[in-house]
Amino acid sequence: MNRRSCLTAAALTVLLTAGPALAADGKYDMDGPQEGGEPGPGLSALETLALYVLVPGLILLVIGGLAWLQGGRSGPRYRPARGWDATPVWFAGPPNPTEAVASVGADEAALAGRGGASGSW
Amino acid sequence: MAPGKEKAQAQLVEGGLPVRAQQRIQDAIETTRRENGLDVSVLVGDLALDDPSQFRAGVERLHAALGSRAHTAVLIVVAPGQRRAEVVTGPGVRRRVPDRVCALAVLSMTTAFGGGDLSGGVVDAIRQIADAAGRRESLAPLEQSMTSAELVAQHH
Repeated sequence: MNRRSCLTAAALTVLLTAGPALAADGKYDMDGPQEGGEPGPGLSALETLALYVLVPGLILLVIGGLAWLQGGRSGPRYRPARGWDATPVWFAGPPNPTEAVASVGADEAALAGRGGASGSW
Repeated sequence: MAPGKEKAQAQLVEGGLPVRAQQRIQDAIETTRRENGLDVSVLVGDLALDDPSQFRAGVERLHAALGSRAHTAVLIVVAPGQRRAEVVTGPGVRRRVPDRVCALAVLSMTTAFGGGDLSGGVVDAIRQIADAAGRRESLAPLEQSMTSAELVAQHH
């Protein structure tokens, strides 16, 4: 930043913060009674209850209800301890898996040159 | 394909993978075929084995069951009940997808599965393997994308 923009920024900051004080025309008079200095009529017990308990409670229930409705859609989550009893699904597998597996000869299964890795959890 | 889709709907009722999760895996497989020219197949389900120690051998049988595809195919097997994950690479694809890449993919899968995320773990593993394999000419999409069957991998 060059000197000119620095000066411009400084001048703007001073004007914006001090300006309202300098533009005193009686509105910002700090002596004497002010708006909002005296308390209002207050809320009745019912209004207090409604405003601070019922309305937030209602909002919470609506949000919670929406979340609860969303949660059920994807089904129960997988937990390793719970086990698995679903039918196996083979993505991009042979057209007829049972036949294909049964037709694998003994020497085919021992085909050398296969690689890969194993793991458990 | 229609019976496959009906069975896919039944998966949700039986407590298997939700349909959305199955779709994510299917999309990842198709993307890998198209963009990396890599044949990836994924099996999610337990194997019915007489001898639990023959799990790896059973998985290799499944890989051989891919028939003519087996030479250049990568098979990922996830058994959520038996809690085992396996990757098998055919001889023709071992240079593109070395064993260390498979080991990393299995590690990320088992970490995800331990935290309860089945489809996310599978999709991430497919992406890792696809990235390692690099881009090649696209493979044609398979006609039958998903099958559900009682698989029996037995050993004599």
